[in-house]
Amino acid sequence: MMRKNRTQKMADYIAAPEYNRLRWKLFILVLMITLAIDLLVSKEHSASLDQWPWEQWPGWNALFGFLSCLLIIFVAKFLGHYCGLMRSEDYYEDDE
Amino acid sequence: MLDWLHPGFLYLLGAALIPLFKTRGNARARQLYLLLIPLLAVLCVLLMVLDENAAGDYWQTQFMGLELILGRIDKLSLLFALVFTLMSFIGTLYSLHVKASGEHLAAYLYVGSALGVVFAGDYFTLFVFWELMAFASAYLVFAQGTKSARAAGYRYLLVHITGGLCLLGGIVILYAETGSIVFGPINTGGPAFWLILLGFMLNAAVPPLNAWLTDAYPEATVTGAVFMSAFTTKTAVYVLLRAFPGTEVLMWLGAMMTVYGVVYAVLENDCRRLLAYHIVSQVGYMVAGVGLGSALALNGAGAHAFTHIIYKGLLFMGAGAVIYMTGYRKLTELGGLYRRMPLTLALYMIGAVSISAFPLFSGFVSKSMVLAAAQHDHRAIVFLLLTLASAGTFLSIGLKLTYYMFFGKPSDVDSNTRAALINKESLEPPLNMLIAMVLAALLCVGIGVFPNVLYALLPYPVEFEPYTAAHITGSMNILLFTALGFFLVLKKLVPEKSISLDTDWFYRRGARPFFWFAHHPIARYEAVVSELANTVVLRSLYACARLGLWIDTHVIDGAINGLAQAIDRGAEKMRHMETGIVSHYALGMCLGIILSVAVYFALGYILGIDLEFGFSLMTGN
Repeated sequence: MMRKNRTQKMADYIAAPEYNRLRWKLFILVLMITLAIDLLVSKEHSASLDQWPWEQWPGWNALFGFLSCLLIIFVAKFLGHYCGLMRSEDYYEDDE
Repeated sequence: MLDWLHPGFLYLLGAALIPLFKTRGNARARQLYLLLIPLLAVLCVLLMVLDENAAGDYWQTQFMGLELILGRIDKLSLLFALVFTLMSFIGTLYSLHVKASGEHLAAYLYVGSALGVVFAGDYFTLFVFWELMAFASAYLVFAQGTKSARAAGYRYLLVHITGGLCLLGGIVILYAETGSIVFGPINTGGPAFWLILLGFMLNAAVPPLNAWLTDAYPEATVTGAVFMSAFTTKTAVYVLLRAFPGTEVLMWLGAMMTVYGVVYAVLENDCRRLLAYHIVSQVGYMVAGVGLGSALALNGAGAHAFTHIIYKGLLFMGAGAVIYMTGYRKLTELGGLYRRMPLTLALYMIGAVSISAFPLFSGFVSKSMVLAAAQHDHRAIVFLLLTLASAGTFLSIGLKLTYYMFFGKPSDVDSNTRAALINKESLEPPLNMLIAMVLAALLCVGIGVFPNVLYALLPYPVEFEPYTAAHITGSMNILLFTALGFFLVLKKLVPEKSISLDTDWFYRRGARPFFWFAHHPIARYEAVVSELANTVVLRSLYACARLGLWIDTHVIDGAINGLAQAIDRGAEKMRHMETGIVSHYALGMCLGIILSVAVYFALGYILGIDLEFGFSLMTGN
């Protein structure tokens, strides 16, 4: 029973709404740390030939990840809603 | 013949015995048998992998003057054979509770024929197993039994038969041109090149030939989809690696494929169809690797196929477990399952971070080889498209699917169902399903932590180190900031109750003008013709028949009766002429001869025929 409660509590940390703020804070902390490490590492590796020029720009990877995410969502939703890709679920049903 | 054992034949022959085992009561013997065959196959392939002198051609036969090779062993075929047999073991374990023998049988035939393609040394053998694979896998869709599954199964077969015919056409032309059907690189560039490439690309689900996959896989049975996710597309990658390395068009198509699947996945509501779109996306990396063509790229394509089969199998097993336990398959109907299926969630997450290429997981060590190959060749656009798709992969599978399947709230179910979904009772799948998922998860982590084991299996020598500081931090930044983007626009990503049009539209709705043409102009023409036949033609035929009957009864019958009466009367008269006096008869005969000669001459005179010939006959001159 004790063990079950503990797993339940862990699950709540992951998903329950009352820990929303805590999760966001932790998430932003992790983001800052990874970004900081990347800045150090990319500076160190700037002489490497096996890199694209843009990979030496500080924060390139973070920016690329963030913008790709938004771009993909935007393009997909645009195609879905404004170019007629998304249809009702029974779209094919009347002919089958 | 006995110096080598074809692992595919273990499955093909082993399948025949499956129906003999009893399914009711104690089915332990059947379960042991089902696991034994893949286990033997794994061992068989492992022995070949460890034997340094195993490479070569085995099981060569002559057929209709063609040299057939059923077993060509080299590092590339062994790489795919190993992952195929491993996955078949995991898949069989996952489907161990399934009672229907047909499904196990189809799965065995499917795996056996996929191995048949992998070991094929000539195009004829390849084609035969290629077709068997299509039919065996179609059964896994039909076995679901719903109306939509049957329809999708027929569409699946239709598309694969078309692709198979393309391939066959290419093989025939290749044979006519070169006189050889040895399965190797094709450099001709003519119709044979394009037809075979088209046949292979269809099975690799290269857009616009991708819709069969995303149409059929989500309709398959829970266990069938696990098998399907592994074999068809990856055999296609294998044959592309053999026949078309360095074909530049494949590099561009592959790069576009990765983004294509990712974009569709954002719109998708059906959880397994979302995963299916990510097969398209992931196979894109492999196709791009084939197109790049360098040793590093080809190694990368092979390695990515290996890791992909395991983690995609794991993801399909996780989603399948959710569908199996809840009965729901749409994200709008699912949510909040993290309390009820924590183990499934954890195992699914291992698959999700593997496909997203997190460090220490399998996708990281294979995908980065393809990316590095693009970098070495200075293909900036390809590199950026592939990186963009990596972010999209984490977005859809690591974040969207996980969030809306296990967290979030179902939007499209009544309050009772919602309460049932998110209560606290355990809803974990059966033990065999969980163990299968654990095995796949262990492989994902194992390959991620010890990449050199996988690299040793690759066809070319590997000088590649995935774990450099720049690569690790770069990947982590891309992934985590993708997550930031996701959580910021979470509300925009709520799954919508919809389906998305893909290229299957062309044969599902686009064929409508054709059907309209068949239903309206052609049907109307047919109606007019049959009406015409009923009124004009049939009636006049009846009238003719009636006239004929009248003529028959009145004229012909009358004539025949009259003739008969006349003969009767004549015969009566003749009877009186029989006097019995010989001289009367002699006179009659003489009169007859004279009459005959007279008729002969008369006819000769009238018709102008030269009678000399007749005389010469009569006189003997």
